[in-house]
Amino acid sequence: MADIQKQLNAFTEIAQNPAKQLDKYVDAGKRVIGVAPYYTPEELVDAAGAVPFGVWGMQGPADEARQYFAPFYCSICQMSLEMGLNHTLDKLSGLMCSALCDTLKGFTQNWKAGNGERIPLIFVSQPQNRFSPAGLKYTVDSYKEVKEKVQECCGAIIDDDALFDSIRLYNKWRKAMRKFISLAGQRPTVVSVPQRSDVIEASYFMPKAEHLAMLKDLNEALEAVDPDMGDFSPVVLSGIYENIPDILRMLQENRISVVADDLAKESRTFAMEVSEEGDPITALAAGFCGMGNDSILYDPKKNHIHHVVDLAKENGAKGVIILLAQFCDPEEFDAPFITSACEDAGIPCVTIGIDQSTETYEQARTQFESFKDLLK
Amino acid sequence: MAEQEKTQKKDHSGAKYVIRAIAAKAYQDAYDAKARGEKVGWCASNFPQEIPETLGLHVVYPENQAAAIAARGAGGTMCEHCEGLGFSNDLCAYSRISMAYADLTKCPNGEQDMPMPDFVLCCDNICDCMFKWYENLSQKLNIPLIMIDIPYNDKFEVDEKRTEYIRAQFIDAIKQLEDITGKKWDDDRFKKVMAISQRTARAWLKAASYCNYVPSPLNGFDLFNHMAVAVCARGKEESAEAFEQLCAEYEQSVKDHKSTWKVPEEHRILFEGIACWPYLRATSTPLKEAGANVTATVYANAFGVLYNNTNELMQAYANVPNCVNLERAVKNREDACLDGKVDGALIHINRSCKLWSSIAPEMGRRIENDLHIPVVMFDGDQADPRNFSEAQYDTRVQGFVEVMNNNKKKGE
Ligand code: SF4
Repeated sequence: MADIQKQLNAFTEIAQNPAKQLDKYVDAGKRVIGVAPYYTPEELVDAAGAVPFGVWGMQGPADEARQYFAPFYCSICQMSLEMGLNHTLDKLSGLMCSALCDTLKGFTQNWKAGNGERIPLIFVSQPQNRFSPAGLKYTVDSYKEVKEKVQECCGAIIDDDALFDSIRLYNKWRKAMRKFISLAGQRPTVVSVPQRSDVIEASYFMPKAEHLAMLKDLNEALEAVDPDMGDFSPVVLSGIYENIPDILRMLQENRISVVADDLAKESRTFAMEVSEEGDPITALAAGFCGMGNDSILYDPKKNHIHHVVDLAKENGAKGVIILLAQFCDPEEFDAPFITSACEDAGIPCVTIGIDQSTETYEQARTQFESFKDLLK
Repeated sequence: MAEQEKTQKKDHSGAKYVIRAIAAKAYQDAYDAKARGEKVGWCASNFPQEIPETLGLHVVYPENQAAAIAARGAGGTMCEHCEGLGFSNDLCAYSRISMAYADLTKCPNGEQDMPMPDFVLCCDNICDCMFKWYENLSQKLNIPLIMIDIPYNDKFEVDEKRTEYIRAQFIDAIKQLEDITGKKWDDDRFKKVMAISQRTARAWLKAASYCNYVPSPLNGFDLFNHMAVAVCARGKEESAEAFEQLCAEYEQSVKDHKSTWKVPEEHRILFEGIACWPYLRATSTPLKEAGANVTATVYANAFGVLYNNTNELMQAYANVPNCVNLERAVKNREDACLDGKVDGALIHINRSCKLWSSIAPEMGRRIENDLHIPVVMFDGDQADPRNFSEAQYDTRVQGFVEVMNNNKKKGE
């Protein structure tokens, strides 16, 4: 057990010190490419021999970003722009970003205006009608352009073999992440909520190969421990992200175990499967087009809603917590449906607003406490 | 405004009245079609109108409905109803009004009723909010949803991959609509609809270009009222005729030195953003008092969609405002400013429209730098009355006018 805690601490060390990680790779002569949301073909960065570096904002107030965004924008975009404007990210050789929601579209333009000369934007255009051959074709054409831009930013040529190596690596890594989510969820007495989050967060600040090596060891160690829910209540988290220190602490204090999640930064990302055959760009494109059950991706039947209920049922969750990223349209359009689907299924559900720039979470504390009572 | 209304009541043959009647008739036609047992749809304003028009389908437009509801005073009630259903007040007020209407199936006081749909047509070229909203309508009403996805364009021009992707979706959408409604696509009719749409677009562009005259023969706010027909009813012959009539009227006004702008035109401005429908009077009065006429809006050129072939037709739908990159967005505004010979730009930071408002501050800075004109922003909302402060607006407009006055003095 002591060994597991040591392993977890290593993840925490990385998760809590992204700047140190960035310096480390740059000092080692690596190019580092920022990777902003969502579901971009990050494998290209890996295949170019560069280090992908997650850019999902940071805790704190938006200051310089206010010149671009009014206050009613999500903190991921506000704070990521802020990090560019205040030079936190100057060592990046590029920033890869999708335009899958309206705020991201504005973000890409503001990024180019404020930071583009120092940190070029690698714009990733993805279709919403992903189910048709035309949607796939569009993604393939778009990813070819992304590949060129990545090559340019990394000063490297990506060959198909290297790209397939990266695809295989990412498939393995995603699989290991899915396994970790399940192992950790069943062992809340060993892996706390903040630790679980750190294991995931660390993957955003290091090459996947390094993360996978650490993760494999951790998963093995966890497998050797019997599942034990202790006095923890099994819960599903739904939303974009969870890693707000206060929120993580409150989840832990309320003895909540995340048995599964529907978070864009976590399991929605880990759900992608990419074929290891054929043309690698087409494989990546098909991987994206095959994604679903997501507020950000066009979902004509609103499968996302049922997916959350199914996750709860399949994992024996006693409740669903929607961590609603403030000012996030896609999530706000889905949240009421999820709430009522949970109600219909007899699963308690609560919506808690989160934002990287919020200073205190007193209301959330009360919400967590009363929700905890419902789980008994 | 009141004066104009009086004139229109007296003389119902004016172009303004004709244009308004076209918009009103679309609602009645949809009711009639529904009564005949035809399937009717709700349609996003920037969905290619050529498709329903060619198929002879009757569709109505939730965005226009929401604007009308807001202008007639029920925006707040409808938004609150939607929030009562669990939706955040952060969401676009048009979408909240529309989701409320889908739940209530009528307005509180008949502000703008419309028949309930049998299908919904969505196009996300103006925002992604659109497809979430339409997903919800489709789910709530249990009816089919047809979506043409036009991804945001980071480049200045529309490239081949986008054109192809849009074209494939055109074909899919037509097929789905044929299946749903039993109507058949007719290429000859399509050609005719395209030709009429071109005629309407040309007439719209020409009508809007009368703003370029100094003084302008029109109150620029008038264009907000005509816009819906220019966008949604482009393919109808009567729209082309109405805009041609409007051109003739403006031409006559130029000859007669008359204008629907009733005070001396001290200043000419760009009004950027959607109108604050619940506060049309409150937003137009301070401008009128200062003699600041709107002689430029992005709508003028943006919705005068011209194309010579179907390729250009596809591209036109990728070039609507909100689908274009910052550089093109700025160019569209600067062109409008130059044509309209403006002395300043007033930018609406519209709480409802995240995409638009997200690039507005940078757009404003560029316009200010490039054209050396004052640019002032105010906070508002296209339909939720709770997001506008008359006091803030008045102060901002005052400051804005002062700078324009000073600039004018310096120039004299
Ligand atoms: S999906 Fe939501 S949280 Fe993510 S960038 Fe868009 S608005 Fe922000």
